[in-house]
Amino acid sequence: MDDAHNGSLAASARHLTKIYGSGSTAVHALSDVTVEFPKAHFTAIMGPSGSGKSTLLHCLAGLDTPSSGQVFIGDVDVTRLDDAGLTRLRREAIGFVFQSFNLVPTLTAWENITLPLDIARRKPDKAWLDSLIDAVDLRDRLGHKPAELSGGQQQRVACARALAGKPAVVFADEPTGNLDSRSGSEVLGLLRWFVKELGQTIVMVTHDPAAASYADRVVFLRDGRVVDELLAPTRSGILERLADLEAGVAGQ
Amino acid sequence: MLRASIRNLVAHKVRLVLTVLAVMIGVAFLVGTQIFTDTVKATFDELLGRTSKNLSVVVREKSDFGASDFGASRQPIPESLVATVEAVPGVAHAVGSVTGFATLVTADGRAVVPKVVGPPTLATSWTPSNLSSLRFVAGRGPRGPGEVAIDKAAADRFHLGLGDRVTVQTEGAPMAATVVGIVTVGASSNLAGAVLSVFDPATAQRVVGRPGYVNEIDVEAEPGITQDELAARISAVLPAGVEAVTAKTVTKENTAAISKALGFFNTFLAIFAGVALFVGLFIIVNTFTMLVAQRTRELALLRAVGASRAQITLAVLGEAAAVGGVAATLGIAFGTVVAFGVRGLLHAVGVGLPSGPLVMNGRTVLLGYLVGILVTVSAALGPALRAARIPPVAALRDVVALPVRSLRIRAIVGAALLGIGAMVAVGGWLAGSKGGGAAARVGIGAVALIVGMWLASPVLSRPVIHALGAPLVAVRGVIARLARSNAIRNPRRTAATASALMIGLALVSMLAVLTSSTKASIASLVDRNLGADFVLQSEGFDGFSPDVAHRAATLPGVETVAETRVGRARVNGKTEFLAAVSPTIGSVVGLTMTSGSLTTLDDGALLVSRSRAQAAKLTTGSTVEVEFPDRTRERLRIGGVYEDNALLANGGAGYLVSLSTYERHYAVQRDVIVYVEAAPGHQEEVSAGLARALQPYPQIHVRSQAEYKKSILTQVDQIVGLITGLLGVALVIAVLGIANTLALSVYERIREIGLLRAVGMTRRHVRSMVRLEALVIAVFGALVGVVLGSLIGLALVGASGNQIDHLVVPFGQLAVYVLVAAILGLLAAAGPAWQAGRRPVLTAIATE
Ligand SMILES: Nc1ncnc2c1ncn2[C@@H]1O[C@H](COP(=O)(O)OP(=O)(O)O)[C@@H](O)[C@H]1O
Ligand SMILES: [Mg+2]
Repeated sequence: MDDAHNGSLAASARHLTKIYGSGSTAVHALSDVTVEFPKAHFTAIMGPSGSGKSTLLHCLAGLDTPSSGQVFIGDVDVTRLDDAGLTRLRREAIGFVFQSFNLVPTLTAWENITLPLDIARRKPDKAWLDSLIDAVDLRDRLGHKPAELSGGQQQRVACARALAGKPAVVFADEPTGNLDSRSGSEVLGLLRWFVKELGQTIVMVTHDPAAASYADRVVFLRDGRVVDELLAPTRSGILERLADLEAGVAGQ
Repeated sequence: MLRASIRNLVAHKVRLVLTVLAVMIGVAFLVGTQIFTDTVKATFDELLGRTSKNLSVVVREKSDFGASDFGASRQPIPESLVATVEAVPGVAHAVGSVTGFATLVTADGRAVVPKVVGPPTLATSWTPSNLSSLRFVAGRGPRGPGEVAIDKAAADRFHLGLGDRVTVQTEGAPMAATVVGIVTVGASSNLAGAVLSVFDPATAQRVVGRPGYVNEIDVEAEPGITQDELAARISAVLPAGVEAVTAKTVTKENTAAISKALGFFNTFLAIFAGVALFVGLFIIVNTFTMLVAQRTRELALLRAVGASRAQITLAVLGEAAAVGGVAATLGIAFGTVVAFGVRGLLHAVGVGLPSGPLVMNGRTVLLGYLVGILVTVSAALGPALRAARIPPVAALRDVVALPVRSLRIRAIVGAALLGIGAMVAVGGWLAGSKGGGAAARVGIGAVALIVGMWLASPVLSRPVIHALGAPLVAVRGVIARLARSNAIRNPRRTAATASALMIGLALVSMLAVLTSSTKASIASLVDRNLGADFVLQSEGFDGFSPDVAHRAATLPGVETVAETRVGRARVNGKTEFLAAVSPTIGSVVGLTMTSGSLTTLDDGALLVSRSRAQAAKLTTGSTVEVEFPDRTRERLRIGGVYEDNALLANGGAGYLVSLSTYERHYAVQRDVIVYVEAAPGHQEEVSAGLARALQPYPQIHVRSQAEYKKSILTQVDQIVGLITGLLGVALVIAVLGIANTLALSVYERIREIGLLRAVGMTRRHVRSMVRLEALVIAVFGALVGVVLGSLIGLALVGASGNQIDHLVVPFGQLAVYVLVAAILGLLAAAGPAWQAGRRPVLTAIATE
């Protein structure tokens, strides 16, 4: 492997395979997936349901252990870390945005945003947090509990929380899956702004072409394999590729 | 429906274990108590019943002074009545028997006393006949002066065998005797813990009775004559004051007396079982509330496909009944163990009970099931009704939450009850100085306070837990903040969990305040009033020969000796305790006269305590009619009124007579307490002299002022230890409750925990978080309980009037209770914390 190349990568997977179960019931959720995520890039992962998108994300984020292959966050081999190492990695280098249930209901928006820092007992970077809060436009909502916020607002808090610790990479699994289109586009615009203006790296799983069109690049998965890639995607371009995928004629 | 319910129970079996345990413990104690009571009853019924096969009627003095000491305190009746009774047609056989108090002293100077303070040292006569309940397991019956048989329990404990020499201590001169027999009482090795010495009738009359008199006459009927018929026939020939009662009546009386003697244990265990079940209620409520909440969608689906509200309610109640049934079954089985334990405990304190099989009545089993199921079902009623209110549409909704009822009404009712309880309790407190029902008022107030606190605690939990958590948050940061907010997230559940602990600790704290104050009061009372340098007391309450006082009086250096004897008498028709004292009593117990003078206490005079004088409207100089146990009435002149004095006769006699008056009316002359005052500077000399002079009386303790004080305080401590130990089990149940609540909370928060792990929480953090949650809940319950219990304790002290005149709050002890509760809380969290930390991050996130 060429380590020189890793310097410009926020995360990467090499020959990643994930098999659930064994014997006749074994499911190859991922088969020999090699994919790279350059720094300051917004990458979307797309594919039909069951194609292994979430599995890939979970393996990349160290939430799940692959059956074989390697995962790097920066130049750290994630597959070699124990639970304590993974926890440290999540604290220091990774941010998450999930589809739902992103916030601790008993904490205020502000407390949720600073939660990873509080857990790690890290000093927050005031200026950085200020710029995040302005970006998510929630300054007047910081004292509110999640239940008092709309779904879009909750996801924006989750985005701010994901970035609070200046992670090397943010993983988002269907972050707009539960939102109406307006709130969805607000969140997606926000994610793109993070990449463009703050130089963050974001990897997002989605099945929504409109959402994927906010990304710099789209990686297509089918049956646990990377089958295609699209740079500077547009909504119609994505739809076209998806139609090809569904038809089983992956263009290369 | 039924299948769904059963599946549901099986699916949640782990969760139900703690609930079952809680109910089981309560049922076990209830059933154990019942088994024990039945076993004792059966044992004595059998024991007394075996004699009653022959025994038909008992003739005895018609005492109605209510003493329950196996007849030892009844007036003797003339022995000549034996012949009179025997002449009655239908009487096959009549035997006079003598009963009294005697203490044996072994050759190496040990007093043969009961294992614990309480049961008497009895002496009785034995006549070879088939009417006696005594069985000789070794040797033979005593035949003349100098021969004695003793009970097997005492013989074993003091290693006495046939041929051993002993000294018999009675009212008169000590008598030397040889052990010629070992007896059991029926199958029991002793008589409910009493020590028994057995003499031939003539000797018994001489040493513990009066020649020519017997205490009772046992009668055997000729075949075909019923007990009632014979009793009626004999009654007809008896003089006034003597009665003939059937053997059945006597058996009933004796069983009742034994039950009463053991009643302390029973009452205590029953109260304890009640507390345990009550505390268990909270756990059941929590469990079922959560089971219903978890199944909201499933229940809604059932409603949607046509189940009625009643069906849903019944389904949940059916589940509760099943849980209660399982718990009761286990509780009944475990109750046997408890009964064994109680018997073992009694054995350890010297009450020899036959080691026969335990008696498990159908009634007991029924009671166990009834209580177990009833408690569980009634606790589940609230959740079951709430389950029925789930709308069918909830099945279609994504996020379902049971409608949360406002806490406002509950808080208002709680606050009102707290207010009323406080008023009633304070009222009782203030009424204490005036006497009369004050303690009962505090008791009612206490119940209102506890119920009020339970109702108000959900609302109270927020600010209190917030404040309690503050120092933790300062130290542990966000972990503690999360733990604290988890603890107040569901105030109703937290309150129920904490309430279980609160009740246990309220009881313990109340006891702590009460006993600390009592001890301080006793200590100061002794310090202030006890003028005597030495206090002479025997092991039990049955006293000793006046000879002891006479010996003490002749010792060089002794200035004053005061004797005290006790008895019952009827003053103006009301049965009262009175004491006979030497006129020298004034200085030794610090008696102050409010009117009249102690010097007027000669034969025919009566002194009255101030509270009694007030209650009975007696004034110095007037006369009052007193009826004595010998059935004579006498008008006594009231020579004076004295301030109530708790030292008098070990607990504050209300009336005092002279020793000569007492001697004229009471059959038994025994001092219960003798005070000795040394001339200034002669304490050492008197101490040595008493030790020497009382060598033949090893059952008598000579105590200095400090030792006397300590002996009383030790008694208080022993009672406290026992009660605290039992209440400790209530705390264990409360801890089960905490574990239960936490396990369910962790289960509910799987996703949240996953999220926290995803954003960087370590397993250790997660475990800490759960433990801290338990800690604040436990400390909350403990603090509220301790505060409430202390206040109730203080009110009780106040309500006691001048009996307990020192208010002492044992802060150190109370702090230890809170600390123990905190530690127990942490222990309870161990399982749930482990569970929470163990979860892989991903499954937590992926769990829908
Ligand atoms: N925990 C699991 N156990 C067994 N099979 C799984 C598990 N998680 C995912 N799979 C399977 O792996 C494949 C990929 O799943 P996933 O990554 O969730 O797909 P996507 O997110 O693209 O819909 C699917 O066939 C799914 O059924
Ligand atoms: Mg998925």
